[in-house]
Amino acid sequence: MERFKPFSGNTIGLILALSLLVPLVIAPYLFNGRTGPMGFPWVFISAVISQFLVLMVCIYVAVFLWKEKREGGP
Amino acid sequence: MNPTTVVIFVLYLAALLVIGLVVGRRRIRTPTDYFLAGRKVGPVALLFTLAATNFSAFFFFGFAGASFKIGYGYYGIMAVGTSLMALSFFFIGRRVWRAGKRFGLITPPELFSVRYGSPMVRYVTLCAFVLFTIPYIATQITGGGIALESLTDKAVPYELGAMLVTFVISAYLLFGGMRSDIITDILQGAVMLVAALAGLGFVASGLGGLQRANEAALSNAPELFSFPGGGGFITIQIWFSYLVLWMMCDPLFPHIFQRFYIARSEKALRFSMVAYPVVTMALFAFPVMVGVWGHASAGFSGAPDGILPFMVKENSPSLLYGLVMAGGFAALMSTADSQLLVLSSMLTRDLCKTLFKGKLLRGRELKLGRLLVLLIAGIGLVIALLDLGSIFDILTRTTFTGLAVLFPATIAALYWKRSTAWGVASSILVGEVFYFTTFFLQEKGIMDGSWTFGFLPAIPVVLLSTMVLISVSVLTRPPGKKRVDEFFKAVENGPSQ
Repeated sequence: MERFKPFSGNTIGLILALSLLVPLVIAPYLFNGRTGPMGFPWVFISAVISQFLVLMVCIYVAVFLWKEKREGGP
Repeated sequence: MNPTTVVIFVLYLAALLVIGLVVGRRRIRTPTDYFLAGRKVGPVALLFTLAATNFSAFFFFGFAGASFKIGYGYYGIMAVGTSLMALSFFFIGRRVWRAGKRFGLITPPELFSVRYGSPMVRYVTLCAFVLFTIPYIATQITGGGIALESLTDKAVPYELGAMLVTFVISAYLLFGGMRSDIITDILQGAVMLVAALAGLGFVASGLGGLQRANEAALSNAPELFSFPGGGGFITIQIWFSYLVLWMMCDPLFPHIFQRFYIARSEKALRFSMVAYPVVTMALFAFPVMVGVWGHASAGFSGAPDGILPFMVKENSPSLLYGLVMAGGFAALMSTADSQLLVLSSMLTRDLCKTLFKGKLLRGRELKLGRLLVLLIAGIGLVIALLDLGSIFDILTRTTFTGLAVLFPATIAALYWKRSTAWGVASSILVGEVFYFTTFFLQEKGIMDGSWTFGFLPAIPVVLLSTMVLISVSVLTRPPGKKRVDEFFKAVENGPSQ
């Protein structure tokens, strides 16, 4: 039987936490009101960055956690 | 009224109709063919249909309107939360797909029925899914009416536009079911993508480039460039609430849930999970930026939801305006058709088929499904023609929270062997009753919103549902071991090939 451990290891939790922390903490409190490249505010840029982190989590899950049974397997 | 935009729009609707009718008519013999496209949907088509289905009229018109009021922080609320929802393809979608394949499931309530062997759970989940989907269909039709009225400078009144949208959707669904739905979703998804990217380029160019557009908006509305945004909307609690809300409620939309069944393989679902955040990242920027840039352009005085059509019209050639409005239409139609189909499947199989038991033959099941598509479309249209408030309010305050209540029940069904039918039913009923009670008390001014401690109501309501589910499950008898073992063998190992 496949063992399901979606949160096994620290990596996924760390990346998820980072993705939330970037916009949650850094942008509002450290860079709040400031603008970055091409006049975009950091609340926007940090959200884009956090989306890349979400993407990394998805790739991690797809590669390491999502195991399929082979054709003809149990 | 610009004839170019109208011609583009008419061609677009005609193309939808023709593609939906011609391609969708092939090989529909069973309910699985009609409602699930035979469970043979590949990775790219699955990605398109998931995205097109999830991104509704609210995505085009509501996002821009909210960003016009709240600012750039709104992008984080919507896009990051929606991207996180992709993980539910793994946590929920994979097990739902496996159960669907093993037990031949077609509708969301059937999963609960098979898991617990309880008609009660089936009916309770059915009620919740139906209750919160019909108003949502009406919202899409409302968006269609608004868009057509704007596109034609009110030459086509709102009511007529809403009827036209309803007619086109119903027509191609009647013939092709899910297959037509998916094929039109691919077309609609492509139109949305092209319209969003081209629209963004033209609006930015019309305002003198990204830098100048941002600088002009910043000077006119500086609060939109920082937290907590316009109106002090984005507090920490609200930010957290939205991130969690999309994770909890999006996969529980019955039209999204049903799409977990249609995948040809787990590979298709896995591909969609990885690609979904990329699509979200690209698509969501358009309405948010254009909404904020609405403050860089003088002359807008309408309701916030009209800012996107206004900006595109002001800054783009009429050809592109037609395309962007078609993109908005694509967003709402691709959601509404999926909702119609899933509602039809649920009412056919979870209500009519269980009530009439063996009397409803397979051939009749298809006919009934098609009839219900028409009936539900009519109900959605009638609701849309009533004045029900802004898109944002309706969606956020009832549908999303109402469906999020089903999240603990779904997780329990898929992961917690000890959960019981009574626990699941109680968690849904208590959650919904509590939510509606507080909602109406607040509407009447009898109580204020302080009981949520600044969070969206979905957070405390889902916590309550979870506690009820655990408590009642512990106190009641679980389903038989054989049933539980068979279900978990299927969802943990996958169906036998």
